[in-house]
Amino acid sequence: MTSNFQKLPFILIDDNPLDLKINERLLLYGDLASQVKTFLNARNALDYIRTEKSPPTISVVLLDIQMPEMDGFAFLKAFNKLPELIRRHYFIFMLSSTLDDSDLQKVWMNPDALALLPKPLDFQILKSQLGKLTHS
Amino acid sequence: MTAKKIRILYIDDERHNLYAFRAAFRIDFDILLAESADEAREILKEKEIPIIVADQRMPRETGIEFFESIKDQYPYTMRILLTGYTDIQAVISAVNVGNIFRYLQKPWNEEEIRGAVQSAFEVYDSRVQLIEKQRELEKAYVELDKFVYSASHDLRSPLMSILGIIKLARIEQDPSSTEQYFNMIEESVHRLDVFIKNIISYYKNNRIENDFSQIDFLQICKEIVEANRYQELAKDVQFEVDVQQPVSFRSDVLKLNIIFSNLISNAIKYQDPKKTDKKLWVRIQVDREGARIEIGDNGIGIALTEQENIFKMFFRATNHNFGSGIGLYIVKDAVSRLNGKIYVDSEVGRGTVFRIDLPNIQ
Repeated sequence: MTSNFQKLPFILIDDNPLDLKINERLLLYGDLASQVKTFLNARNALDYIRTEKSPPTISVVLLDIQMPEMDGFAFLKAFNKLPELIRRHYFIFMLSSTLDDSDLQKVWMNPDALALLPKPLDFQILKSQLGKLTHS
Repeated sequence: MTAKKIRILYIDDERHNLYAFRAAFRIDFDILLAESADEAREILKEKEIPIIVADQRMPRETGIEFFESIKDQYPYTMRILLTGYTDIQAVISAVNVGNIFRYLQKPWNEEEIRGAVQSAFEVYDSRVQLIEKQRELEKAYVELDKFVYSASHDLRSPLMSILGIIKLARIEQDPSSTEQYFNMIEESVHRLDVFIKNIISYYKNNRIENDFSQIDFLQICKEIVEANRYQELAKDVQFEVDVQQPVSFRSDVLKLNIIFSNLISNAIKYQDPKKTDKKLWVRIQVDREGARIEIGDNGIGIALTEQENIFKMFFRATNHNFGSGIGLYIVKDAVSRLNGKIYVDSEVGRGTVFRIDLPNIQ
């Protein structure tokens, strides 16, 4: 399944610049991403998604949960209001070190979040999640 | 030092009884008088009343009826009933309906009343203390919940960053990146350390009773400004310290240090890198009553929508990575433990001013 794995463009959203750097490199060196865009602020990422003229067919968004100003769930809420024509290009995963039950619950309940991935980024988990998507 | 007199509200429709009661007990107690149940209700609205002594036989509303009507609204007030008749029915309903603490006979025996008031107050006082303790406990539970939540985020996240770096170092072929990875790990370790230190300083502050001594504001400010002045972020910040302290001031030096060092280091952290005239000022005016403290900067400022949240535990208003979200919570806690008040005035792009009023503890 992973032999013909197709590299995808990624969007990373995290208020911690160190984690952005780590995850960007992991995705690139791990041969998972064709390109990576990083955002320290969820609002800027949302503006980017909203105004992107020619979005790639599919982008994978890795979204941190706990962030100031606009946190991961507030981002999802705003994303949900975007037109379907835009939304269908983006596969959103939450990426967090949280162990909090209410966070897990909220991700589970959210229609726009596909899954909660634990930090640090695990290639096997991510690949199998992406495999599920590209096969369906 | 004399203890505060116990306050009693005495209700009787006969005026000479009211005056006689006051004459007999005003030395021992702080006496308030009411001629009717309605008048008593007005007083209850205004003042905290630990003990009410009421006559049973009053026109319109009896003592028991009055007690029953207020017991839900003032559940901690102790109720003592006085009556001139040995009326067994009144005794029974006094106990059953009005939740009366004591039932005493008229004409009163002064020693009996003193004794009843004393023991009623002991019960009242222990109930009030119990409520106070319960409130503290509830606050501690809320903090514990927040702590567990933050342990899951703030404590774990630097560790997970380090695991990510290790993973990266394993797949990375280029050996020249090693130095960079060490630096990244170091950064994560420092972040975790700052967080742990802040939590410890908060809990220390929380446990220790106030220790009042003479305060020299200029000295405190100088020390903290000196300690902060030479860090990288502060290198082109202009400091202004103006202390007007013509009278002596007493407060807790440890808590003042916590307040000043957090606010001054915040004022440095949240400078606007785009500005060339970076400023930080501390202005203090002291008089007999108290101290008015102003710590301000012309930094990035705090959005109006975030201002109500900044004193909450583990809240960070900006995207800057320095904050642990606990500094201002500690500051607010220290200020309220000194019976002071803190205000924030801020505008995005213009800067932030914290104003603190602290009483002079004489």
